[in-house]
Amino acid sequence: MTLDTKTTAETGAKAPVPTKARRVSLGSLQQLTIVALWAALCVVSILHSNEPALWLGNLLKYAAGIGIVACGMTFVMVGGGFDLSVGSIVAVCGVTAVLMMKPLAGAAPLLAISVATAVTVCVGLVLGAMNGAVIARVGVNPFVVTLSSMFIFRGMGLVVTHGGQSQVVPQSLYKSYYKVYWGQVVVPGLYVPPWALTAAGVLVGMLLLVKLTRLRFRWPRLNLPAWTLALALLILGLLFALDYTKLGDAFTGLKIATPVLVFAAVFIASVYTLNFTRFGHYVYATGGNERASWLAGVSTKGVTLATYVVSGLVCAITGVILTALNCSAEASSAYQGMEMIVIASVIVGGTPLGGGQGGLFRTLAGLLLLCTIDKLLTDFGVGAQYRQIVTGLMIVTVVAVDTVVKRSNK
Amino acid sequence: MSVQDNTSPCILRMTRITKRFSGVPALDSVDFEVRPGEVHALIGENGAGKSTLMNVLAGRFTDYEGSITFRGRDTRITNPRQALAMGIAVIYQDLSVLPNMTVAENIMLHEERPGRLPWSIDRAALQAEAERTLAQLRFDLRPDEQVGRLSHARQVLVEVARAIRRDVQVLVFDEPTASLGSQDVQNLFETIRGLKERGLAVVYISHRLGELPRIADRVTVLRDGKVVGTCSMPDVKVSDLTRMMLGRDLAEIFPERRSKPGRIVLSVRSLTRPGAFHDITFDLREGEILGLAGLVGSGRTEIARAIVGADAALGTVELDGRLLLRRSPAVCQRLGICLVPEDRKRDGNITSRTVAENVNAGILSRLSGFAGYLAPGRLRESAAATIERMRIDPPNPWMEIQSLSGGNQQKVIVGRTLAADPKVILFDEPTQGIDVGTKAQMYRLIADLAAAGRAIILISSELIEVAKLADRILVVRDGRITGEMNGADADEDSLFAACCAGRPD
Repeated sequence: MTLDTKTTAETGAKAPVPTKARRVSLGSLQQLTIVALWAALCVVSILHSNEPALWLGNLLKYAAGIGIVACGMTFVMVGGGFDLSVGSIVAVCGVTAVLMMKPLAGAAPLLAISVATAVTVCVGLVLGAMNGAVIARVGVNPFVVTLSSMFIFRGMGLVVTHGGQSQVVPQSLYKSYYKVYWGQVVVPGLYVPPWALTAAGVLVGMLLLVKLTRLRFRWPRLNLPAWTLALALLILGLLFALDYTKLGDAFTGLKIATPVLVFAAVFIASVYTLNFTRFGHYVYATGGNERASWLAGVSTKGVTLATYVVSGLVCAITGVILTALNCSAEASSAYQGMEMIVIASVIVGGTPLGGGQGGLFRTLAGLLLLCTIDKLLTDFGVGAQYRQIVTGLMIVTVVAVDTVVKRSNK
Repeated sequence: MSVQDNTSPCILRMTRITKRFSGVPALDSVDFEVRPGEVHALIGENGAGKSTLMNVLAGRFTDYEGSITFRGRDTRITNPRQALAMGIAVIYQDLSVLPNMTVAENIMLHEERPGRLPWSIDRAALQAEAERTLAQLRFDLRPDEQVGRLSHARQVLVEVARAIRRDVQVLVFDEPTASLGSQDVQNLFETIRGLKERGLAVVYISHRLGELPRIADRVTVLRDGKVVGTCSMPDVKVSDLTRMMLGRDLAEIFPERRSKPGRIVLSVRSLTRPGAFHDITFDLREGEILGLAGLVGSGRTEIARAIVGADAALGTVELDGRLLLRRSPAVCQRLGICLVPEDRKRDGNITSRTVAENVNAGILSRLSGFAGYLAPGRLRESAAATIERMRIDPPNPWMEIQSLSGGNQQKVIVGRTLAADPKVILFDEPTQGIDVGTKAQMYRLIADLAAAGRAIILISSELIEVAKLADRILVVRDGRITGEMNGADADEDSLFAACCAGRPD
């Protein structure tokens, strides 16, 4: 028995007919609106764009930094926690990367960059572990702890930069640092027509949103992991197809921006860890019911601590990458407010504040939604003040719709 | 089981009440009535429909069928505010008092007197008014005390006083004694008798049959959403009520005793947790079912938690002669001591996760491969094995645990424990809030486990379970072991007497 149960997972073999019929019509109408809205936004944005073929590539390049941090935030929030200090950790890590390169100015560029990156990653891990230790071991509320460490870490950044002076990467490393993290990886010989790239991007986004808004869509007879894997492969394929430059002038192959590649790698590694390993299951269990998980033999304190370490790690990666863009870093105001956009992506995706539910594909969908809107408004020359208002409205609308739909399901 | 004479007219009559959830009837044309000045008990197993019926009365549902006659007038109660305005109040088990406000503020909520300054409140008047109400009811409460600091029993009084201020005619108590000690129960009964004398109609919901003779005038028994019967209390025996509630004799759902205790597996020596229990010493043998009998709050649960290391305690625990020094649930589970916790919602269910994740939560390290990789297939197979073993219904590993019935949730949690293949299993209230069928299954499971050589500690408030299942029973009172009984000699009454010995009441 029971080995053929995979199909019931998707169709949800419960709830008698009468209420279910009503639920679909009421909920999905609003949900469809979101999906349609996003598709419309994409079309407008693409038509307005100067290089429609590069639209998706640009969007992902723009989203990569936030997206990497959002992967870690998903771990923390699924585990029932909260991390307000990510912006500060990214800033500190950026400063660390630059400061580490200064004494290595004479060394071989690649060596200097590797050493700086390694040290920065260690700093990120340590800062994350500090958050996690206080939250898990002492048991202080994560909101309070990370709010405090948001100030503490930024202050530490100010101390090491002598009060917030902008630090610049040495001239000898300038070029290679930029090239390593903002260059392109070329896949020779691969060709995908530009229109197909963008169209496929929009399509994948819509699929994600369908999943995000829990539309009662009858998937083909696939179980959840297989469906997840298929989607991951599709995205991977797309990422390879990104950033394709015009076929005419000196065709070398498909070019992918490094940040996008790193984002893809972090995302896939995160999906694997959260959904296919013991640790990931423990994170979900801890977020679902910490007391019960602990009694069932899960070392929930260690799991909680580890989620913050993951968050610190991805912050370090983002710090190194974003610093490479300008080859300079400062700690006084850099990445302030980043934590809010990151948390917004996770929440808009549908991971609840209490944890135990949600996941990375949801976060990706939320991230795409927010970034598309922001990018669209930027392209149309809308000022930052209005962009903020729209972003805020977007977050509250999506969550409100979700809340209403969930309530009507009961 | 005769219906009592109709001397006084009913203040409330519910006729042919039917309420469906998603098409499934939770109440099936139920008739229920209360007279002023009587305590009418409403009893039944979990899921029998007691709470649903009272929720209909409290106006929590808008879509019930049937009619309600209140004070001789046909009414349709569609929201809680209306029910309150009419004079019907329900005091739920988890009270609705505001813990950070004073007794007076709680009692006078919505009745604040305006003070001299604009929008201000006249605190003195509030206090005086509350004091008057408390004096009238002869409640021993200080109006300026903070409610959160009161015991649960006294918080109930606050809620009663609030209801009385609103001129309530029908007062419903939903399992009020579930978390009270015996002295508090005594006081509560005193209060209820007082309310009765004032001419209030009291509905008393309970599943503890033992206390009914002390408080109820009439009893209505519900089973599977239907009324089995209404009896007047002095004419009916508790054992009859049990049979009406369960639909069969209790004795026949217990399996036969067939365990043969072997060598000692677990030795507990001088286990002490100040304020909870003292000097607990006992041995547990292979294949033995050891019952811990005691009232709620006697320290049974705390002892079990301390054995698996969920709480810190002094004293020693030895497993197979090996001293367990740094115990934690994780360590104990690895070594083979598992606890099935008491409060399913709080300590058992891993909320919003699937059945598969719940049953596998304790054994993931055994299921995972290189670098913690969990193959979905192995998860499913392991879950399917547990689902089959525990007969979890529906047998779908991908359902969220909270969408299962209480009995099936309990099966999931027991299944999680058994998946770890422990030598010693501690069952803390394994049958709380589950239906009779599942209870019978749980009894058989416990007996089978013991027959297969597992050592079992059984804690239950249903003393009959302990009496019928355990080979040996330790009586726990006020955190100490005060007696030991042979399982074959014990019955419900002797156990109850032993548990209460030396207490007032």
